[in-house]
Amino acid sequence: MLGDVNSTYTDIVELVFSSTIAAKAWLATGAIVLAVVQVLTASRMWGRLQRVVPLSFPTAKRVHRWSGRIALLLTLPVFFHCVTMLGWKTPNLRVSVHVVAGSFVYGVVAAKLLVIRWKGYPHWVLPVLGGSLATILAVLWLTSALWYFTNVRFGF
Amino acid sequence: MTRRQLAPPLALVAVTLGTVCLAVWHPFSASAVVSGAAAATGDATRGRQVFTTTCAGCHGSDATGGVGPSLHGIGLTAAEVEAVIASGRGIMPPGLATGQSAADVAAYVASLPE
Repeated sequence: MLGDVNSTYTDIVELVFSSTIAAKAWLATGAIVLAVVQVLTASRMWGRLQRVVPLSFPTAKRVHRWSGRIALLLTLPVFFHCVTMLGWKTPNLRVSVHVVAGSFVYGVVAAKLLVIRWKGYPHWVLPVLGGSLATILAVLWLTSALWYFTNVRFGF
Repeated sequence: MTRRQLAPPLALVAVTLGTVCLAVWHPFSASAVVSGAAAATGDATRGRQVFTTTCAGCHGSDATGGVGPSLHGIGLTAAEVEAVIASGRGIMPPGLATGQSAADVAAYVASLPE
């Protein structure tokens, strides 16, 4: 049963990518690009960067929501492989930073979604959570996908 | 503080701890797959399964090389391969496989023909 999950996941991923690691690198890259979109559209909604992001408030809101949903979907296969197959490993500083930062991703996502749904929190809470999430995703990308592209291979 | 105000920090802590627990357990890891079939030395058949999951990304699915070198006919014993896995080499980080998984994949690599 456990072997089936492992090999089935690998077989599915390798229909598109050369390896599970390559798949994670590209999915994480997609997520980090969308995270940048998230930061820009959130800034626009909070009245900043209006010249950089020339979108109306409703459009910025729609783009923010959909880029967030897609980014979250892109992280799910990465989470599945990292957490359920590779697990908690700290062989060196890069991996240690990666596993610690990665542990917080969905916790921060859950907190952010609750804060969005329930009004009445201090004004700074949502930007801090969103900024924290973007920072964590950047750290994760730097310690995984960037390392893969520069040290292993830049390809699918 | 109301229960509603406490929900986000509690969710953050709970989900983070859940992630850590799942990562420590990592139920679908190659080592979990081969556990329960304990052997004093490596098993090349199980090692091939570990290799496919952990090593094939760089060394190729048939170990003939990719980004990493071909592992056919490298002239190392299983113990020597296990030592390389433990310590890492070049850009290969140390500890990609550990314990029985490392022994199994070492047995597989050492069994590869020239």
